[in-house]
Amino acid sequence: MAKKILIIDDEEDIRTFLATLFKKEGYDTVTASDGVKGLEALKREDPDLITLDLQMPNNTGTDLYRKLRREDKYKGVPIIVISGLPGRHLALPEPLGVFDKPIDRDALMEKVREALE
Amino acid sequence: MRSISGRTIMRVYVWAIASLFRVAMVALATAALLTAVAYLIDIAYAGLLAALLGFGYGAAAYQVRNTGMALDFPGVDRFFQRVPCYLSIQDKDLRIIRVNKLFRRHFGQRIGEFCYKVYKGSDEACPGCPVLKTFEDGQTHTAQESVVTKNGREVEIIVYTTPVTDEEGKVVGVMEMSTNITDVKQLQQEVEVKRREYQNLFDGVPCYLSTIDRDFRIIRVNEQFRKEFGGETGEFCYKAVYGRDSVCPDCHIAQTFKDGKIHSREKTVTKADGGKAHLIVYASPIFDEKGELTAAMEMATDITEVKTLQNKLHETQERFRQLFEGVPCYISIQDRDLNIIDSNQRFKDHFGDRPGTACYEVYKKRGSACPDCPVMATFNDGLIHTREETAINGDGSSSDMLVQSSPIHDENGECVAVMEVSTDISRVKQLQRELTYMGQTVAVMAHRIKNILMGLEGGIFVVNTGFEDDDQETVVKGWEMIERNVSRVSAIVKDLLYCSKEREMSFEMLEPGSVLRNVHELFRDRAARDGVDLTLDAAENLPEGLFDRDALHSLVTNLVTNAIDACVNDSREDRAERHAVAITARLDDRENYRIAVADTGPGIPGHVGESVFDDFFSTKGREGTGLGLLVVNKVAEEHAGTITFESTEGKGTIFRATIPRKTSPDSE
Repeated sequence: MAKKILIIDDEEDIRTFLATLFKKEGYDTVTASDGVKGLEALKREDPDLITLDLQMPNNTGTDLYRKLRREDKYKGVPIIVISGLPGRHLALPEPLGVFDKPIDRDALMEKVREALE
Repeated sequence: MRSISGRTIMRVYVWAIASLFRVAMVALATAALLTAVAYLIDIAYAGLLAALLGFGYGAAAYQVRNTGMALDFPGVDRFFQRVPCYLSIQDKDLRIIRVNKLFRRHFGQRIGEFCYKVYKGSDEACPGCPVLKTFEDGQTHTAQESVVTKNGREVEIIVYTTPVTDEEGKVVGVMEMSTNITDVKQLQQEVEVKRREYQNLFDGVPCYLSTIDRDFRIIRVNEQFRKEFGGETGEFCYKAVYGRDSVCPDCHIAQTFKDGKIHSREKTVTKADGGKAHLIVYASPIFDEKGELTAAMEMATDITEVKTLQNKLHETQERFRQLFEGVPCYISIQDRDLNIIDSNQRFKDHFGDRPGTACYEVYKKRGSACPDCPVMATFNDGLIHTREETAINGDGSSSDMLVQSSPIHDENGECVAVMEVSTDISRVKQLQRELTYMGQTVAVMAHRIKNILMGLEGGIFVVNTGFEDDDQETVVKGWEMIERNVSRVSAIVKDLLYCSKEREMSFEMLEPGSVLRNVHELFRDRAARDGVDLTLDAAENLPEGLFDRDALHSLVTNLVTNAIDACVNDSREDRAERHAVAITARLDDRENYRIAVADTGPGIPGHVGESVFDDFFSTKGREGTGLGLLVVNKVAEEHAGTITFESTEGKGTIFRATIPRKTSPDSE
């Protein structure tokens, strides 16, 4: 069964891009446009990996990240942060990986494979 | 010749023979007595008795006649006794043969004693004795003497001696009349002391003194006056002091002569050294013993130095006042109760002229002192304090101020007031905010551009994937991503260019409703797909006005896209199925266009609302460039208008653009 990646980003084009990229690599994808929907999808879909944009309206990205790092039931889910503002993540517990936009596709995929395989 | 003993008998006897009738009666009585004695005793005894009586009679008569005891006439004697001065009569040996009542009281009944013994306690005649002189030349003499009364009190007397002569004009006695001038002498001495004091004062006082008669002639002057102006007695005062030939116009001395009151003037004179002196002169009346105004005293004080200092003070005060009023900041001075004591004109023009009112009422519209008040801090520690504050202007608008408070000390060094100097830094703060905005804008622009780049890159990847998989749908999806992001880049560049100052406005007369209808058309269908009903409520033909068409289009577009995004991004659990965005436009009765865009989104949280024009995250959306509200604000400013908004959390937001209608470039 293919690994599932939850893509959380408020930019539709970025969601489409990442979904296409991950699908091409053989992963299933689920997308959400903000942190609230992302949490719903997390509960519903039980993904193996999350890519998370921290820079979303109403701080939903950072709120979700903190929640996921604090609550035991979510601590095991690897998170890759994709952020447009470098340095923003530094105040938070360390994610699996951090990529600034525009991302390096190869480096991202390497990190994804490392997490999922 | 000694006085006949038996005072009473002598008095009666003397009295008896003081008149012819009485003499006759006495002679008769004497004859009768002698006859009786001759008859009864013996004629020899009668003869002896006659001789004795005759001798006594002769002596008494002699005494009466020659010693002036004709004074013993009752009326004359009463006068002699009662005269209020010391009366005594001395014989040639300076023995006292008669005294009056006052003499007796003060010196005793000293008949037969030497006068110099009685008066002076001396054993010999006084040098220059006036009694002796009168005996010598028969003339009246006078002298001042110092004598001692029987009680040992020393008195000063003035003595007059007058001769007592017989029928042949021979001086047989001298009457000495002495008047007690002790009190007079004392007064004289006191007067002399006062006179000397007055003289010293008159001459020594450090001002110019002169006394002037009614003809304006100098009676006397003091040393100071003499030194400076000369001023001979009899010289006209106006000549001596002012070099004039006639009375000065509005002369204060003339005024004093006229009404008997004190008058003063300020005058400028030329001194002996040729320099000018500024005097303050007083004329006061001098009355004689009858109460008549006979002269005036003029007192003049040189106030040249005072006047110079006064002028300098006035200049300094004037300079200070000019500075106080002219300096381009708001100055107020408060007391310890924070009430305004004084303020400069700029302050008054801006906040109103309200002395006595608390400063926090005047320019903060508060009912109590501000927290961390710099004025109070200065009162507490006497140091200068600086703060940034927001003041409320007279018209209700606010201004950012840099406030400095500094102490004002009295002569004891106590801080009695504080000066508050406020500089309007609103423009600086605005620039600061703009720079901050720019900083944030640059950061957000970078973020957006990165998203766009990623979108473009993603689009290319998706297109290529589509080609590789021969999946047309994927190719189309990717191409649309590319198109979309290219469009977004264009919009950002356009907005960036708009926000730059180099952009020239292009005004034209247009009916603004046409632009609104265009924007409505552009976004209606897309909004509907996102569950947002976009409506337009504007008069069909709003009056034309001067607008930059593209700018107005940007303004409305940004407001509409922000509103749509707010609705689309509404993540509340209880959010409505469909949202609404309404565009309205009208011209009010003040000839202002009022364009409003209202949404039913979640509203702007309170903490964001204050800085909505620079919070780009809240306006971030699919269509927005992040510069939206900056553009909106700029467009409004360029049309001399304003942007305001109201927002209720959970209910929605309404943005209003108020733009005054202009029909020509120079119209107000």
